[in-house]
Amino acid sequence: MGICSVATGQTTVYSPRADDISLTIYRDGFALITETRTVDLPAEPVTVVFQGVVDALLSQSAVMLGMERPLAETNFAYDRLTPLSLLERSVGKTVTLVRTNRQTGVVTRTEVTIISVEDGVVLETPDGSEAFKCSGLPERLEFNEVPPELDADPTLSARLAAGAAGKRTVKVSYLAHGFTWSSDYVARVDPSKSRMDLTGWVTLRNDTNTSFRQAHVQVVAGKLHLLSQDEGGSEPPFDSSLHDLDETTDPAVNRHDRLRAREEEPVLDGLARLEKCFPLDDAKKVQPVAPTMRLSPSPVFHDIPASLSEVMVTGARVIREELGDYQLYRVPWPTDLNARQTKQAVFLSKPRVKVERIYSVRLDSLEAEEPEPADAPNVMLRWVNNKSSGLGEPLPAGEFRVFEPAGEGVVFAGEAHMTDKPVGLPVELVFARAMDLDVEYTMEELEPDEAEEEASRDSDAYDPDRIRLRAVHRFINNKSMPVTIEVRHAGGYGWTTPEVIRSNVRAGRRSGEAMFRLRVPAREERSLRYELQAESVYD
Amino acid sequence: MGGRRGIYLIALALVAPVASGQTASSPQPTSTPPPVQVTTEDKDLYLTVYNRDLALIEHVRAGNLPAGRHRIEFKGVSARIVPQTVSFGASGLTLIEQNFDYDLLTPAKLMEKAVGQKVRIVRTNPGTGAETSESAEVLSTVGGVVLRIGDRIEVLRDDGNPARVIFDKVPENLRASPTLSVLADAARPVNSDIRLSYLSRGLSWTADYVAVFNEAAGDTSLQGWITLDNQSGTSFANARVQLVAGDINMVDSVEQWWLRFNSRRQTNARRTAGVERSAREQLGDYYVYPIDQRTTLANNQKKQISFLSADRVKASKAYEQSFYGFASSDEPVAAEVRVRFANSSAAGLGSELPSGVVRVYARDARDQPQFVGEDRIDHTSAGSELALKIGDAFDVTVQPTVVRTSRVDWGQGEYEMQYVVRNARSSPVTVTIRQLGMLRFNEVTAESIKGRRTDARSYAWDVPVPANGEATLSFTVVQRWW
Repeated sequence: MGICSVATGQTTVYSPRADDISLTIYRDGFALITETRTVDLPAEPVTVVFQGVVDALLSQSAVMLGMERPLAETNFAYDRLTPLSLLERSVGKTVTLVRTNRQTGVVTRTEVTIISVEDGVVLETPDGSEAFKCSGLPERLEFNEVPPELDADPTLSARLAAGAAGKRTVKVSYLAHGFTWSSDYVARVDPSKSRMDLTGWVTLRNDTNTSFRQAHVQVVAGKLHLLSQDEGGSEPPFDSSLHDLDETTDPAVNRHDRLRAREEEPVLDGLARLEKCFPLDDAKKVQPVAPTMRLSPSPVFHDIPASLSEVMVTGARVIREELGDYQLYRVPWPTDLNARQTKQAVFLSKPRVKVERIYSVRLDSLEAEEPEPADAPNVMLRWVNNKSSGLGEPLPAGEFRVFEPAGEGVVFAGEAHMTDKPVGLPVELVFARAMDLDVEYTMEELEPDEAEEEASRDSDAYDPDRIRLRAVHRFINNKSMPVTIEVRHAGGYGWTTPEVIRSNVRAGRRSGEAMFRLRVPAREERSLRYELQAESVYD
Repeated sequence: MGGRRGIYLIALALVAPVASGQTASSPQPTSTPPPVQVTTEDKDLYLTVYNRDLALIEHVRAGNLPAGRHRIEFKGVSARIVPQTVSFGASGLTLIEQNFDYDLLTPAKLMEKAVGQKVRIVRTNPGTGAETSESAEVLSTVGGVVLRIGDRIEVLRDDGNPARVIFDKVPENLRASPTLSVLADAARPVNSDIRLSYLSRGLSWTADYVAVFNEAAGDTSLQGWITLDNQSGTSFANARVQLVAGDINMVDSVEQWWLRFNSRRQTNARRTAGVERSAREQLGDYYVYPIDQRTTLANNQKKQISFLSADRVKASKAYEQSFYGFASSDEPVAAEVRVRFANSSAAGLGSELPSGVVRVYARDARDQPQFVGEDRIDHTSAGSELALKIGDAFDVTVQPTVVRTSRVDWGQGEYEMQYVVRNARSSPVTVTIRQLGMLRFNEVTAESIKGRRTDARSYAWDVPVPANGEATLSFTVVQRWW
């Protein structure tokens, strides 16, 4: 393996900004940012510095295409301005120590040199060496300037070997955390309850401090295999505020507080470190320090007024294409995505999709016991995601909200989380529990058939553990419309597939289980009767 | 930090001994401190970086010393040095004492070093604001600072009132930059290199790969990058770097590891004498990757160095899904997507690949590469096959159904399984369905597609599925409990 690096000290070419920017947002809390930049390369070895890249970039993910020259090294440099970094970068520099006499109000200004910033700050004053903030006097430091390396934009640089000179259009791409998107569905079921109007919204969010102007934005629907950062991967650390887009409907203040808390922590750690002094008695350690004496942290925090975190709802339709084994949705024209902004666009609108609205019950035990009264039948929407149903579009995972007509208006009937649904897939979503549909379950264990018993006694064969169950379920429909009920009955682990001995409704099968379907007219009741027989597989 | 960049040489900057005039003579009586030589510039610098948080660092510095006893201070060593592992070598120099008395200059250390010394205490009267200054001797700093002021003993700021402590000077061995000092005798004037080596924390490296997979062409490009991360607190200029791949996590302390490393180094040296071995093998179970040219690694910097660039490596895509046991699911399960390629010269690659994360990209309709997933590869020698799991297919799903469970005989159950594989893509796919938990006493008695036993506990079937269509795999397994 030949690892090549080029000696330092050559020409540097700066690229101050991107000509064009493309943002591909993934559901997992990150984005792939692709910047198109123009650079003019000399023939000799050169360092290209891309300025103003996103500060949250993952440097190991950076890819540069179109240089037409061998790449030797890349480098990501960014130092955030914090009270700690300001002090650390000022070691050896002359600053002003300002002391205020609490009693007389006299302010003393002294030129001092910072000689160490470790666990505490040591200063060289005209009198000798002193520890900063250990005397109990109100004191602060005044800096003349922000050290240039802290003032700079985050930069990504690449060192190139010698090669052909000339202008190049380069694509610089990298992953950056702090972005997410999700899809939400609104289904309006029509009064016949056999059709729905389906609208899909894509909600994307930029939780970084970087604003993007006129960016090409796309989102990828797919479950990517990602590794945690401990394993060297790209997965963002878990952050509930990024994973829960529902939060955007909460007062922005909450999110703002969370973000503040996120940023405040490491900075305060640093500050606490710097306030370490000589050993004092424990009682003295908690010596009150007037808040004004602290290095004021306020300028480095992003005090974004709540109004700036508004939700932008656009009427834009997005265009879908396949990306490998995922779906990619493209906002067809360049759009702005500002720092801490949430944006929504419609990606799907399908009227009159054929659906079935049914009540379902699943019993999974052959023991003669009554199911819990709380087990009201599930209310379920079922359809097939194909053209003949009036749909046939990939449906990325998201929250699915169902609205139904009620009287003059519409009510919110419930919601469900839907997983990715490709074209051709049957879809079942349980969005509510039944109301006004009462069920009485009755199950009794029958004695094994006399004749059968006799037969088995005569044979030498081992008599298996056999169970026979009679079920009578009464459904009372108090609604003003008919309902369709599906009842499934499974044997449970260790039992053979239950055999339907007899039933008053024709037995079918679903997922390998016995299934009965019956319709109960409005304000009437019906009973379902059946007998199941199963044997223990291994006894 | 960048001050040393690009400069190679320079030697011991001779700092004139402060007090004594008798600089270079025979060893000094202990009462007179030896002259102090300060060296800051590396003539050469070798970094051997291990995967996780460890490096072997060797500084080569020009020695230019008159005969006599010297205290030599090495500035610019790693701040995360493990002092027990320091070793020092120079011809003509005899080591008397080796101290890493580097202490960070902090207020607490400053006070500690002032024990027995005079400091000045400036108090501010809380009522009037008037300042008074007194000389004090520091008696103790344990659990609080005890001072002797005149004939009184008191505790610093016991009353909670403001009191400034002014120190005359910063003690010699409290420094703002990491320094190692040794006490050595030179029998005659020394004019040769001094080598200083030690282990340090804070340095690590990882390998990262970028693969742009072209499904239509059946190939992938593969670029490899080494990321060197320097969190050691010190910058290293123009270093010769080599990387060692190997897991040293099994030992619980650096010191133990160092002992083992040394003994291994000795045994290996013996072996090399007998049998000719390449340099790469000398570290036994480790792989060593030298970086061709010198590199500068600033503190707090992550630097990436290209080490591999291959185009048109033959690659293909595969779908698979594994199921443990026999169960039905109303919810179809997405198939996993894998990108397979061979690390062989025939396939367009064939170099040793250090363990690392491969990020896979695919081009979208506008020919722009988009990220599609990542996976880790282990250290891969040439000739190995690789299969990267990149994600779940949106459009390819598998839905398992237990069609029937029945009893064959005592302790024997029969499971009739059905896997419906759906493909919403516009091209046909083949999905490998793996049934796990298929131990020796599970027997496939019927199958709609010929399957194969893949190992002692799994069975696999390759199910071809037409474009925009579905296919069903059915099989029956008899399971015995004995």
